[in-house]
Amino acid sequence: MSGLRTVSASSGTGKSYDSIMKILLIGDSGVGKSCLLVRFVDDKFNPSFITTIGIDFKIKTVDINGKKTKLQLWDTAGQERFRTITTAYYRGAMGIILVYDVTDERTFTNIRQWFKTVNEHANDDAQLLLVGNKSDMDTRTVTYEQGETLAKELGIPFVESSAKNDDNVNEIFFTLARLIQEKIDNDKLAGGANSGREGNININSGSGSTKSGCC
Amino acid sequence: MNIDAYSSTCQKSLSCSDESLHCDFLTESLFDERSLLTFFNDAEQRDIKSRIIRNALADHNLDGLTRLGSSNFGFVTTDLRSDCWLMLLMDQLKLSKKEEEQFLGECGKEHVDENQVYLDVKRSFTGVTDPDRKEMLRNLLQNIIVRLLRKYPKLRYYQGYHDVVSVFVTVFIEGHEYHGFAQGEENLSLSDMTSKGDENYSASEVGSNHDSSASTECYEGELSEKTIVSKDKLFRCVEAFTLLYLRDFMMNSLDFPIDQLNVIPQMIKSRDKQLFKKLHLDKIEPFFAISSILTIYSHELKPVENQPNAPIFLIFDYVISSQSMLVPLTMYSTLILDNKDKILREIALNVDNFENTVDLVHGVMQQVLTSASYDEGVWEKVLRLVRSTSSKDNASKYKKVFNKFSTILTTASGPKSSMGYNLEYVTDLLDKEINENAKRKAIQRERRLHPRESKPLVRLFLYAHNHTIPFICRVSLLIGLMALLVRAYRGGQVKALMPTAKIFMRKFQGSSIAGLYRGTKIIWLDPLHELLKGSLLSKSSTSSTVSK
Repeated sequence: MSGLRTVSASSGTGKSYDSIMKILLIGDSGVGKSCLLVRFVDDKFNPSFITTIGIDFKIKTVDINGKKTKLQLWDTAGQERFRTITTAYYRGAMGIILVYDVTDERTFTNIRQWFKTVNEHANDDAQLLLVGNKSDMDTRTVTYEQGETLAKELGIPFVESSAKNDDNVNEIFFTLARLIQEKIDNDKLAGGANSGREGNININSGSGSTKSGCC
Repeated sequence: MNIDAYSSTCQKSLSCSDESLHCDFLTESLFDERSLLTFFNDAEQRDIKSRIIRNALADHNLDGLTRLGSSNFGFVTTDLRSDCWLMLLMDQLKLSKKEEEQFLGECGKEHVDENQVYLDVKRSFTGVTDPDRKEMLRNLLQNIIVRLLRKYPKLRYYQGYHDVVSVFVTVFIEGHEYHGFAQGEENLSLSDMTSKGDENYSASEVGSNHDSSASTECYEGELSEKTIVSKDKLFRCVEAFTLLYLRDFMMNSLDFPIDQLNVIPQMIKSRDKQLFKKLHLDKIEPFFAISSILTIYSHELKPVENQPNAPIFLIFDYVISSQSMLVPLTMYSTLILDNKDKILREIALNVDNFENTVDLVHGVMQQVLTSASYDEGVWEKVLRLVRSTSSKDNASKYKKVFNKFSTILTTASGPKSSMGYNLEYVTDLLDKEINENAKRKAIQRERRLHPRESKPLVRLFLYAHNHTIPFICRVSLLIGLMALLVRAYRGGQVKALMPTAKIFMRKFQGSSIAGLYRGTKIIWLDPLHELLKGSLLSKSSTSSTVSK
């Protein structure tokens, strides 16, 4: 089934956007998930940004292919025990960013585990993206090629970034949002072609599925 | 350790005019808003209250202190606060001299979670602007946490524990310069730790971390006496608070904290059914409250030095005085109930902005908490409401929700008239909780491995276990289950049901119905008992017990 859809902004509250995308950041503790987010949303960098406990979200409205898109960005705690909680928020995520730290090999190795968790809990058609953060550091232990190889193996796009130097941070979110938008557009086309098969999963079924609650 | 020294100092500092302000005439309402004292302005009330607290400290009047800490203004000033916390916590967890000093001399073995501690400590005290002070606070924070984990290696560190400890650090360090401290521990500087944390965590790295931390203990000899005493007091408080109040959180999973969260919807349901329904609390888990509960609000309300009236300190005053971990939960549900209109308005406005109900409620609650974190008035009101309703909420009402060794049902279950707990008792509780947690994990694993076979029965059983169901319904449930088992046996499906039965048995033994089950006098339960026992002992020889 298709979990990808934009949420229509048709309610009478006068929303100033065309669609919403739910995006999730996951990865080991300390790889810089919150820093990437703060850099992107507030254009700030604080090397000692606070620990995320449980789950937090931020919103940023961007322009994707001429459409005002509200990015709903969910930031998660990295410590393993929080997975029980954070996986409850995977549902309906249209994009998932898997982050590791290029100076910490263990966070890179653990990406496979994160990938597995995503497969267990997220929608099948969620768009994934692998990010190697802290590319500005000269204490790097994971090469760009290693990251690229892993991404190829998992079949997902790959970016290296630095929240500190603001390298590639916007690219992460814009690339992901464009890929999601493409998927939505393709789905729409496909939906039009064979509406019999997936006809009852309406691309604009925002309010309908909102009320469906959880499992 | 010279912890008792302060009481004699307090005694000396008493002036004659203070003598009249003893706690004997204290009533619960002395410092609430309806009290006669509202005749005075806030500053005057604070002044009167600090004098009363000083006297209570000098008299070692613990009853008086608990009432003072639970009322308006809490313990008023940072100096009084640290003394009161210490006196109360030392009374709540009694340690022998040997237990207190254990580990002070030796260095202890590296704890498995130390790397996570380093990662979080370097992200602590972000609000402190002076870099030296920040470094010093972080050093102290790390030192206290590592020392505690090494002293009690069975405790597992969770993200958020560092927030709780930073509240104690802030209260105990205010007014201390600690220059010697920072210099003395140069070799444990954070940059040192950080670079190690950032590289891979190979055994050699871990080893060197161990060495550098270990040497901190040995540096204490060079610190000034005042510093050591203060640091030891701080450690003593954190130690008692952790063991008595935070045990549930310091397992290797979040199962017990999640149990605690589940009380929040129940509290809301009992007070406002409509709100309960509108927030879909029957369908979603209250994960949105996890950071507030795990950190007793210290994640949202960061402690800052020289702000003795900040809500976070008043919250800790209240929690420690009432010796109750139900307080943070009552506070959360009160916060929701008190912001009902705002929450419902936001829910209605945002229905289309979120993908599902879990996200929607989380989003709205995050918004409410964020705006509350900038508004001290919100917390003052919540505390006022909680103080006035706390007598109605007691932990036994929610007994079913928690494991039976939970802090909420044992060491932080409300004011005790008894003499406090000793270490042996508390570490025994810790062992039992760890055991319960392991059992819970085993059941979950089993459920994941055999979802199809176990689902209906286990679910039914878990439901029965987690909800308050009248006795008669439980009996009928049991009879129903018995019938199912008998039928399954006759149909030759016993083998297929084996995994279910095993889980069932395990759950059964740990559950409140266990009393019923063990009561072999109850004849009508015997067939089930025998069947289960038989089927567990040997797969082939259950026949005789089931035949009527």
